[in-house]
Amino acid sequence: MATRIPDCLTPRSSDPAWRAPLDEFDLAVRLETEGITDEVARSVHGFGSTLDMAEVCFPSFARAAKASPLAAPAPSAWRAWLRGTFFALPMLLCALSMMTLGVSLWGGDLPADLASAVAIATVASLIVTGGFVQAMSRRAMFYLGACDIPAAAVVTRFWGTAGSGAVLTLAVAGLAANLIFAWMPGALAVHTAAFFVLLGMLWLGCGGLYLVNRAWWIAGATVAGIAVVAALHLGFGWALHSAQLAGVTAAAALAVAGTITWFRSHGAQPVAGSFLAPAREIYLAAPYFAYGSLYYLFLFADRLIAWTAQTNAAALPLQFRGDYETALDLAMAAFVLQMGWVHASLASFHHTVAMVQRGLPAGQYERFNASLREFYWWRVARIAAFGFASSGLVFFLVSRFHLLPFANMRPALVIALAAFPVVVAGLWNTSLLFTLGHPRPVLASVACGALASLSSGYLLSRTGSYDAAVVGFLIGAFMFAALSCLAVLGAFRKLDGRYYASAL
Amino acid sequence: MARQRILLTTEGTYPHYHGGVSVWCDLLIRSLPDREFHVLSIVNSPSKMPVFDLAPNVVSLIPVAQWGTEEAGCIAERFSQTFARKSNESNADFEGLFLPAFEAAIGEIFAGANCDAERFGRALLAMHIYFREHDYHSAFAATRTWRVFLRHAYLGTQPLTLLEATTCLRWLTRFLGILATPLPDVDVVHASMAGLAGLPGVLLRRERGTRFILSEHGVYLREVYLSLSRSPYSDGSRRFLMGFYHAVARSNYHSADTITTLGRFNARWQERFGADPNRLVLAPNGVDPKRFHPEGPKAARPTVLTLARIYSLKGITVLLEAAALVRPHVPNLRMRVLGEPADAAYFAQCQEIVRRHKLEGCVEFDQTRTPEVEYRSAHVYCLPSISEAMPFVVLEAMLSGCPVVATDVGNVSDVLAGTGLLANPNDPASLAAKLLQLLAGPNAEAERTKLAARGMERALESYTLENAMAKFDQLYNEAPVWQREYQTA
Repeated sequence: MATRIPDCLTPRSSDPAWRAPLDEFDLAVRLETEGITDEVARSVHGFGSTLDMAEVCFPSFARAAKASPLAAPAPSAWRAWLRGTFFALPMLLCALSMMTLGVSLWGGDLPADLASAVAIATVASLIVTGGFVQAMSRRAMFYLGACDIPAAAVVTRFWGTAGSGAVLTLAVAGLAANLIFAWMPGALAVHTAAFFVLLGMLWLGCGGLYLVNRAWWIAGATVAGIAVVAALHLGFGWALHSAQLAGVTAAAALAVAGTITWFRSHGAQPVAGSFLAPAREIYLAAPYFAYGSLYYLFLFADRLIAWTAQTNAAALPLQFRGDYETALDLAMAAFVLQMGWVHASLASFHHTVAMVQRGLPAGQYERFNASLREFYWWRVARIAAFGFASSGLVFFLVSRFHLLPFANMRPALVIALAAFPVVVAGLWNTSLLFTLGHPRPVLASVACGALASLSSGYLLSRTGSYDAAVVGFLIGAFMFAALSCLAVLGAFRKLDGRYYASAL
Repeated sequence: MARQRILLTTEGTYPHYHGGVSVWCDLLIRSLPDREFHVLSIVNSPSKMPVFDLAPNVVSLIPVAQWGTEEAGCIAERFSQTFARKSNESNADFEGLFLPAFEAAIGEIFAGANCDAERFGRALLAMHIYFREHDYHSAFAATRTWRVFLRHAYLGTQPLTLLEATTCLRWLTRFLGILATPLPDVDVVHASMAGLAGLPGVLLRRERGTRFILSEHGVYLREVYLSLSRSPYSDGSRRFLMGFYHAVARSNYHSADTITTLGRFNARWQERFGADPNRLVLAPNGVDPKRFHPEGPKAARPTVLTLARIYSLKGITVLLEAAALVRPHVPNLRMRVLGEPADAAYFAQCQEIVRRHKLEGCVEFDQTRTPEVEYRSAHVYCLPSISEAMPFVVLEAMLSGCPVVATDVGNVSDVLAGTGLLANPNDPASLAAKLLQLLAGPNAEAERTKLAARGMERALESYTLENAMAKFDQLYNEAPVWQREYQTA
């Protein structure tokens, strides 16, 4: 009787999915799938059974070279850097449109009171939605990482709806409070509230797009919003602030629609009798939520301090400082470039961990921890070097092209350019601690940073000029970076265990 | 008299997924309306919703998500209970109760096929008791737990790498999540496989003496071997997984009062994997003859039917390669593959074969809610699987008067007993030859008629739903082994 050698008895180096049998049982199972039943093993191959045949044949596999899965290729640093800068796309596109068209989604040539209203709405919307966007991202990323798109859709909807509800509730509460305390004229208050709500929706929508990796939708929504503003203001002669409300509405609607369509197109069906328990959800997301809000408070604390300093002559208790804002916005250009490296460094961290772990036996965890400590410091050095270099580049470009029309704000620009690389170092620490599942030290660091910025900025701006608030920002940045660095070093002492536990 | 309470435990099947075992569970519950069922279902995600309507005698459904959840245990548990455990940190209990049990369990997992099932079961129960009061996540996330694991991973002739150890303990944390699930007070635990779904049986049997029945359809360990044979994991990780599943299966076999088996093929494997032959009871599947019967017209074109979820073990690519060999001899051949594509990559591979052989006019991929109608209209039923236990589809085809061509896998040859044709698994030429025999052979029609009649006769005699369920009715009424032993003594 003609027989062929069963495929499973032929090691196949050409087939990347093929794995050598682990033991006799494994080989016996494979023989059966090749048609070597007990009967065939007896009548054709002369063994008592399939398992007997496997026991005889297995030693040749045990001696065969072990095929290990290939290591993942190193992530592209530039691609990761680019993705890390996507968060700033709306701001970047708005700046470009301001330079070319003279209009944008917000800001521009507005009267002082309207400019102040927009400033309040912008900062407040970021602080309020920051927590919801962080919570939404962290929770949805958890499910996306497990390829559970329906669950990711459920938590995204939960946090998106909660964020929208919070924004609307706060807007109504703010309007009611304004009726009692008369902080600003009624029409201006309504405009502020409307801008606050719509920007809040835009940040929530962009947060959703960011987590599903739809960067081009973020760009598209922003461009569409700017196009609406340009058409209504330049084409139809609408007042700029009204056109901007319409533009932000369009951008927010597109951003939200982009998130929803992504989930639908990836098979996220509505889940009946949802598994989501709000109490559990809030418990799990609370640290990230708090971080999201505190981070924006820390980032904008100096502006709030500067806007509220020396406002005696102003009609409002808060006065938008265009000169200070320009200096800080220019410094933020460097921040965007620097932020990209946080993302790239994190991708490199995961890759390095896998590479080092692959090469070490389980007992040599101390060597692993030492290697990764070394990696950390190298990354800090590179982030700092790149950070200060990009700050220097921005300073050079601002000076060369006279982009800062307020000479008195030059020191503020320099201090902000010095502060942002420090903030980025803190964010690198933050992203590591989040990756390791340690959000509490991050909260402490960012809260201390915000507190330091607010308190020192307040003292300096009330005893000197309002732009001295930027010194507070620098102090806060050092506080944030130093405390988060200490927390990282603590976590890295037992990194092997922390890293294992981070994915539980 | 109070109704008997049964905890039916499943993994990746009823009521959240389609498939043969799910159908069996549904039939079992509906056939025994006088009993009260609690269903514990291990699912891959907390968002997974049931796809079966629960029978009125299912009094509770306990879904346990293995992946996609930070909190182990029942998805539906109130958060206040979870929080109470989180707040109850006790270093003394962790050191005195959890760590020794964890270390014992790890030792047995690394022992693999040589593990001590008694010791492993004891360790599992100790952890289960610990998790009633304390947080599962904190215990597994502790650095001391990790270091205990590393110590074992480093021992032996083939130590794991740090990467493998990290991956393996993360897996283990997911797999053992069921230990954090509160279990209901029941009279019988009935596990539908000798895997994680059997652990509630191991725990309740040890702690409360609850009767534990284990029903295997596919032999669990055998299927794990098959699925790992083409997995992307390293050898070390695969060895660990197999060690874990050996420990789990052996603790299942060790604790079960009764292990039901579908046939000789399964029994042989179950014994090899540690089942006590004295506890094995034959309990073949059964199908409802009122639903599956031969009355109805045949399709105009020669039609070959396959009903299966589309993934590699079902051998659909083999079927399609066979179709390419059959079609030149049967030009108007119609090959119907009805089932949900369970593996998108594999389904794409199937479609590629259809394109490559230009089978577009011959092969149909579809799904059906009325399989009984499909069997009646088909000329031949084909089972191309590379691994099966006792497939319902074969029994259904036999009762529907549809002759069967099947690969010689699992208990299929015992089921058919000469009433159908057998082909070699994973061998398109062999499958094509058998299909041609029934579609284009010299006496094809007569042979089909003869096989259909004999197949129906055999199914009515041995594989009816009534017979199958009567067996479980009887098993549920038996006392646990320990009680029987006590009474005898």
